[in-house]
Amino acid sequence: MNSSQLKLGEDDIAEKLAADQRQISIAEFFEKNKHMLGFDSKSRSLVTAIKEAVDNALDATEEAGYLPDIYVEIQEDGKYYTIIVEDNGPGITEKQIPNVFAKLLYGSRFHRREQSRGQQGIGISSVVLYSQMTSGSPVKVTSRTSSKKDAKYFELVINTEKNEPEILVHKTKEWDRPHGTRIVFTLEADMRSRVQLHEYIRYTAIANPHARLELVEPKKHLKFERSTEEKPAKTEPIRPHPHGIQLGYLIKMCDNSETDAVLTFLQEEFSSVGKKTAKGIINRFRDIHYGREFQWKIPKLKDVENEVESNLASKEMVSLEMPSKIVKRVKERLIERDQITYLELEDIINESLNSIEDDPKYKLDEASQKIIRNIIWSRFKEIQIIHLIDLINRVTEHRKDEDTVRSVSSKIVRGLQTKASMGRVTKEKLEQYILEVNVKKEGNNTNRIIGEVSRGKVVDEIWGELKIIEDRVPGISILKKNKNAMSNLVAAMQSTDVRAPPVNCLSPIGVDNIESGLRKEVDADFFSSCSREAIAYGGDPIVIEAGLAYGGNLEKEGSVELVRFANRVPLIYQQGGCAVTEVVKSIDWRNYGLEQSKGRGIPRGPMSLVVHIASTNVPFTSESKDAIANIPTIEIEIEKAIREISRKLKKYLKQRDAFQKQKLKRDTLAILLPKIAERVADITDRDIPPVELVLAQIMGNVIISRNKEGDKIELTVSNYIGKKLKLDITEIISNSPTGVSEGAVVDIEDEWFIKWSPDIQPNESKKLCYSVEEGTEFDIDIKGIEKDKLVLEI
Amino acid sequence: MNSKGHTKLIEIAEKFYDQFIEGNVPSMELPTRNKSNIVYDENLKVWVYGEKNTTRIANNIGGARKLLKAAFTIEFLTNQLDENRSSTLRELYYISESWKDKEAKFIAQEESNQLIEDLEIVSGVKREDFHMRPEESGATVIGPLRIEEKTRRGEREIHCQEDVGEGGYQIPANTDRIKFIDHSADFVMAVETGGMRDRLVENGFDEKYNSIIVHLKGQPARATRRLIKRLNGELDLPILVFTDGDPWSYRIFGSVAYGSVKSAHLSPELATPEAQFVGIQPIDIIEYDLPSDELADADINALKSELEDPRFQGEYWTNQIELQLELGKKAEQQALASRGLDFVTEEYLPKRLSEMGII
Repeated sequence: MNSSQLKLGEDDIAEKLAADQRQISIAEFFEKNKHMLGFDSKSRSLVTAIKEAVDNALDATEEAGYLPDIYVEIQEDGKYYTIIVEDNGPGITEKQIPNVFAKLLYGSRFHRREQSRGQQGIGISSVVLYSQMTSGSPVKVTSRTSSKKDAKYFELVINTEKNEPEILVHKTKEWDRPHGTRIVFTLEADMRSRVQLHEYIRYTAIANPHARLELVEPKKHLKFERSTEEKPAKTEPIRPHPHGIQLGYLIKMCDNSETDAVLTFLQEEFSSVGKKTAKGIINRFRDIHYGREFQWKIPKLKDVENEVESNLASKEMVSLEMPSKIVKRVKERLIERDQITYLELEDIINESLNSIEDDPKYKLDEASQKIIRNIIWSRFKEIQIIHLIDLINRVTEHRKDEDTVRSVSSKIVRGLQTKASMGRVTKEKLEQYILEVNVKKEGNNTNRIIGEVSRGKVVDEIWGELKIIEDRVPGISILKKNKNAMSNLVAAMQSTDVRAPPVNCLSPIGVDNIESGLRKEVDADFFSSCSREAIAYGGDPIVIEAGLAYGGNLEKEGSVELVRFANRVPLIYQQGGCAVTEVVKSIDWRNYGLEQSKGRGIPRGPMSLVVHIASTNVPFTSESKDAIANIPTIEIEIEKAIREISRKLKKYLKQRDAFQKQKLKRDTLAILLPKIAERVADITDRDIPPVELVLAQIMGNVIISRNKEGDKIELTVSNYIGKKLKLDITEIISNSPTGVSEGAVVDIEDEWFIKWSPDIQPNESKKLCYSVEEGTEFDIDIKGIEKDKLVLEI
Repeated sequence: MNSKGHTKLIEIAEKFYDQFIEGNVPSMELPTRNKSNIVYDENLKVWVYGEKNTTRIANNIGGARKLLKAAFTIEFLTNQLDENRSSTLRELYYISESWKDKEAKFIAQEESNQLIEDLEIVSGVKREDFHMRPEESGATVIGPLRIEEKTRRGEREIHCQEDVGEGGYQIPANTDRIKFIDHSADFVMAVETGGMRDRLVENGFDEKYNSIIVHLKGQPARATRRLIKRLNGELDLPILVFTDGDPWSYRIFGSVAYGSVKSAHLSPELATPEAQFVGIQPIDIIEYDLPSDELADADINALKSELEDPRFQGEYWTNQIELQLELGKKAEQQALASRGLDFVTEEYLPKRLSEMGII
């Protein structure tokens, strides 16, 4: 507010403004802010409209346990486009149809902690709103819930002022589908986003391999068949998880709680909390809320009597015996104890003081009682301070200033010996005591303050010596009125180890289906996928899944294709502002065998990378649900998933490279060695020597050669493969053999099979012999060695 | 009748052949030819190869290519010997272009040079005996020396002062074709640069001091080094090396006196450990106030590595090199001209040579 406005007087302005103020309906709000829902341009509106309708259709069919069969048609209609989306879902009841399509924020899923594509109840009604705004046409809905009932037909618009449906047409209709829903809407749009539209449909097919999708455009017809009949697991709504709870929500839960016992409340209202975890949370709560109790060491109370006497000497006492008696009593009560709490010691002192009260002539006045109490306490404090000084010196690495250490120790001890503290302290308070001393000492030498690291050690050490408080935690009804206690309960829940939320509320795609979805839509050489364990964020479980396809027909030049999914819905827009993209860019892909300039940014290469985030509440950056918000917990999980599949890629690429190198070597040597052989034969004027032996030796091959000498046949098997070899060799000949060495002969219709199964040690040869008449035909069959490792010289 | 070179080359090919037959991967083993495997032979006082070996083996693509090239080269050399022809190293490089197998083509001349050296080592025969010569023409000699050279047109007797022009007698690639007849020289003066060699000739230094002037032409060719070795060994003439005053020129002296890395297998035949260094010495830069240049970083590094070099141990070299590093200067031979054209022959050399006890 600037100064000229101030002069008017605040009341005047408020009056003026109030005249214009009225409640606006959610429909009116979105009418003005359609970009928030993904209708920022004509081209994008087409994609958004289809996406909302298809997401709804998939959700509905899956919920009903059907394999989705979804048909999308786009008709060009002059200035407008008409979109038809049809599914084989369960249909919508006659009563609900107007609300579902023509009332914003009407939905069944908004309040449920369960994974679904649509969540807010805005999606499809916003499409209806946008259609009526741009084309003036109503949405036309046909829905049938069972083959036994007629299909219902509606034409609807939204009354934006009231955010209520207006029914223009309502009748029954003939429809050939036994169950399902067909919606038709006409809107202003253009086809410039066809690439994105096709991406959306294709990616949806990848993430939903159980769905059959069909897209009919004026000039194109795309069909995506399902690759699995396996339906996604049915999801169950879950209770909130302790790690994600917020104060306001907790108070609301307390209001609705049926039990007053905190232990039961925790176990019954939260997911992943059993008795042990609930107790753990309560213990954490006690620590945070009540702190812990100091254990005072028992000092030698030597000469306390004398000190008391000399301090009370000025008083007119009937007898000085009494104070001594009191002290003596205290001492007696302390025998055989090595430590004591504040309250226990106070009890002992009070009891000792009161023990002589019966006799009024011995009655001590308040002041005298106080003197006695203080003298006893001062002994306790003294040894406690010495103990703490020792403790601090023990746990800090560099010796701190003596004065500082003493100040800290005495500050803590004094702070704990007050009625208000009752000898209890929280961890926070302990740290605060040290900080207060630090503030005073600041500006001096660093050893005069206790720095962060030392402070942590000192606090932990003292905390470990303190006694855990076992006070009964009050009931929910009392607790919920104490805001401080409630916020400490939230802190306790968040800082206690709780197992991950159950995943039955989620329906991840699954390792196998991610891969089968990719295989179905991408022609590549290598696939890998992973589905991580659920983690909790904001009380919601999150499962990150990732998959990749590499090589094959994928584009070799240019950047890797990044495909993002949230709850099986492809995210088409705002790739740059998405946490997934951030993570991908931050990884040094060169380590995994991809190109990437300077180890940052989107890598290059023939690869499609898929990341799916499944959650009961996906944290998007905006209402239009285009990008995942940058939340470190989630980013770390995304990174782990990507690294997991990338490690497999690296291994594959390494093997492929090694294989290619080996193949190149084999191929090249197979050319070079015969040339050398030819040359040296030429120089030495001899026959060209065979190179196979040498080649086999170099390439780690198995070489089998057949030598004939008259009717004697000799097969030589040489093993250069570097390990023991077991082969099955069958020689098939057209005449009967004789003198077969250690082989079995089988005769089948004028063909003789000689079978050997030799074991051959590395770098050794074995000879297999037989005789057969000249002119015999030979054929050989070898098993137990890969073809490319076998060299036949026969 | 086949020459020794021919026989040895065929033996290499036979070895490869046998390896094929026996199923052994064809290979040949050579001493590693880099600085790390050069050792100083205390007895011979020259550089020879140490005990590290390199194997050229056909179990990898590179090795197989090398052996293929070796086979082609052996075939070429045996043919050349059969026809009693010769070729230069550079010609061999170009001849490989014409080989029908492109795999055998040399990629750079460095590769063919190296292969010839490999064959020299494996066969124990000098490349001259394969009829291979370097393309650079041998250096020249002038002085009171009578020789007989076996030429294509028969044996010629030449006096290296009377029968030649100012340019002198050109040393043939194969110095074994030369026979010394007689001489009246007192010593041999080996000069690095052409300018200084011409100055000495013009000033009549060879006649006045009864000396044979050999032009080194920078880093001397094998033939030049071999001739110097023979002049020293057969005629018992003192060898004096006169170069620029910089670390690279000291290496020229080193290679004349002790041998070089690349031809260490021939050091006993090429190196003359008795050779003595005349100058330019670093101290001359001060003494004669010679025009000089600043040492570059590379010069400084070269000097420092010479301090570690066994060839330059001993008080004389240590002092000179340390002095030069201190001065930070280097000077060329021709810098002596700053004191007059006759200064080198009238004052500098006579003074140095009498100091050294040569004259």
